[in-house]
Amino acid sequence: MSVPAAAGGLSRLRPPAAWLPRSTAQRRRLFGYGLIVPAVAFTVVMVVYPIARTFWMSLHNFNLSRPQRMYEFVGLGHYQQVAQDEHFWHSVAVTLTYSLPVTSISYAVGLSLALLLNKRSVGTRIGRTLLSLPWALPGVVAAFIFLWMFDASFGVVNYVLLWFGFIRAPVAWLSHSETAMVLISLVGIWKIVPFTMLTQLAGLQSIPPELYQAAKVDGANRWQEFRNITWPALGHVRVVTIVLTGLVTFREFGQIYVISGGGPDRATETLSVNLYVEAFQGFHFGYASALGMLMLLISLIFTVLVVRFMRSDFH
Amino acid sequence: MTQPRSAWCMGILVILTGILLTASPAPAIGQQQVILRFPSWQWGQPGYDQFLSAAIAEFEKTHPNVKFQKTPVASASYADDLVKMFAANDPPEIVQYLSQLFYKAAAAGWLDPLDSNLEQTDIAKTWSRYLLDAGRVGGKTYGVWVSGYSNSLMYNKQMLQEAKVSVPKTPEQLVAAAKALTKKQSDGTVSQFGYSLTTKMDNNAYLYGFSSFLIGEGGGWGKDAGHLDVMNDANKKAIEVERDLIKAGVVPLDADRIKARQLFYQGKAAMIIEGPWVMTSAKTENPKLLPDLGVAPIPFPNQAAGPSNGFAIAKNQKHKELAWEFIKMITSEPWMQKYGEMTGVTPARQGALTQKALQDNPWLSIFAENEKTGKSYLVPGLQDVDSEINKSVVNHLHGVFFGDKSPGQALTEIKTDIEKLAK
Repeated sequence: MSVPAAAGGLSRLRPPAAWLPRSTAQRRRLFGYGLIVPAVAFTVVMVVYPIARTFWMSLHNFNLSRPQRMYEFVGLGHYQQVAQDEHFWHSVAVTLTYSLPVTSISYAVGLSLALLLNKRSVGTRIGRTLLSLPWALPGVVAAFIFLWMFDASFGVVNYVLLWFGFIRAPVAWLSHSETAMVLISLVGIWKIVPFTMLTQLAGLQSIPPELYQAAKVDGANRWQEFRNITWPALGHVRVVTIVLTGLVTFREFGQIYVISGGGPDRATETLSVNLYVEAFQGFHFGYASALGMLMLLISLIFTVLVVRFMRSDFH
Repeated sequence: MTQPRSAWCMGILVILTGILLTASPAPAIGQQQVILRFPSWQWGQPGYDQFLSAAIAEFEKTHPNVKFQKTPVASASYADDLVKMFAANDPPEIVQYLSQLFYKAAAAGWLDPLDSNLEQTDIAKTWSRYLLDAGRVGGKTYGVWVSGYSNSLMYNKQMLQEAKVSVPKTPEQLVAAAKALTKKQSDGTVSQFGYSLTTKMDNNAYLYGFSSFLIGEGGGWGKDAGHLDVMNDANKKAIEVERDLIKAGVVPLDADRIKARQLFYQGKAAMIIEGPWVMTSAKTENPKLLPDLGVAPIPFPNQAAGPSNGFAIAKNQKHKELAWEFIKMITSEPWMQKYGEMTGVTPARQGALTQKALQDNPWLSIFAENEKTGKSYLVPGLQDVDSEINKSVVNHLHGVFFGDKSPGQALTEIKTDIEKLAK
């Protein structure tokens, strides 16, 4: 598009530089690229570079307490070490023991709450706000609240359980493997349910009400409505929710570390906690980086498998 | 069309503006202030904070261009956090260390040798022998320990009087006294624990209380890295003492070290074996209870003692001379006397414990006496992997204290781990 020349201004118009695109389409394309440069730069700096650097460290003997050998190339040695390490397989088992129940229970509870709150009223609006609060609370703060509630000597949970006669003596929640796992799972569920509730609620509200009206006319009961309308309609939301919840629980660290520190006797040492201990207490950054890369691989495989398995729901 | 060109120009202008805004202004000529970063787990701790703050105030008065930057760090993660700073080649200017940090840092070559600095002082002549030796690694001195510790049995006199229990003098008496001093309610809760102990066993646990039983019974992990001796009767007995205390329900459960101490000086536990800082904390946090607290040697055949904390100079830092001047100042006689008076622990300098320190902290004489004969749990040659040994001990003993594992089985597992670490 040519610029109309102002009086006496023609002499100020210079021809465009040789390196600038001539056509409008080219200029528009270039402008578009320019707009996405910040996002790409951010992704390169905050995602691609850390992953590349981690992979590089996993191929080297990056042990901070032995700085003289820090850049020794070990190839896939760390990965072999991980595969042969019983602590790694134990952490995988602990991660699955934590992640699978927390994901499925959080989904089920979130869906139930979403169904309850899928009405327009003051009460449901207040309910939604209150039930969303755990999501807003930082994980570490939630961990400390639960630590106090479940304190073996002075916690309110033991007090209530004793009062109702469910237990005969205070439970030392963090001293036994099973109870420690129950505690960290409870905190995990409490934190994630608001997310699953809100995503399912959004999905419910996108279902056309005419479907339910037609079902009523046909004489369908609540269960039939849920099975034939609600559940299929939530398919795509369900896939996204389960994938995201699964990934969050898989990589959960802060809450678990604050509450149980991976104990007792590694009973709650998930892959994330194991990685932290190896990196920041053992200073074996090379080995920990290999663990991190494997966790990334497992997350990718999980995502692909879930989407593939639930493809019919997604579409 | 000039739109793409103006977009590029605008982008370059924004980046340049950002760089200019974030660039720090150069200091004015003649006013170059030196910042000395001083992380410590003792900031906020009664007694220690006062001492270090007084020392800093004095140093800043005599060095007007110097400013200290106090950074509180939790004691459980102090060693790990400082190692990260060293590994990032950004060590603090003032390095205060615990044993878990000192040996790791010295082994990794992160500290400057201080032998030539020490020649300017009288430390070689006035320091306790064992603290001088504790600062040496590979024949060179890398740290100056400012205090050692010994563990003593601290008890609530009123609770013992009420229960008609005398101060225990043997491990068997300790367990019996703890049982007699525990008050259980009808609902199963405990309103008063007979003994306070660290029982939360996770990756941050440090079995300080257990180490007293270990050394007290005459046990340990061996003479040095080349002469390990894990499977001995003294170690088994130490494990049995702690197991008996936990299984009898006389100790708080899921208690970390901080909680274990708090329960004692808040009057909820009758006895504890710990260092003198517990009495200092009681003096500050619950002074009404202090007259009721008594101190005695630990009820074991041997005493537990060791180096507590000290100062070193990082190799890669720009203000080594200032760091050394600060260390020289606080290890001088007047400041070591203040150390004893303010912190209520025995200073490393022999003869620095003043009458005022003993009057204000009457328990100090017992701790000082125990320190003379006490032995450390650290194994020579394995001090730099002490935190790994601690983790192994915590994990393997958990099954004994809360399950059915035998002490012998736990010791076999600990022995395997220590042997791997010793290689």
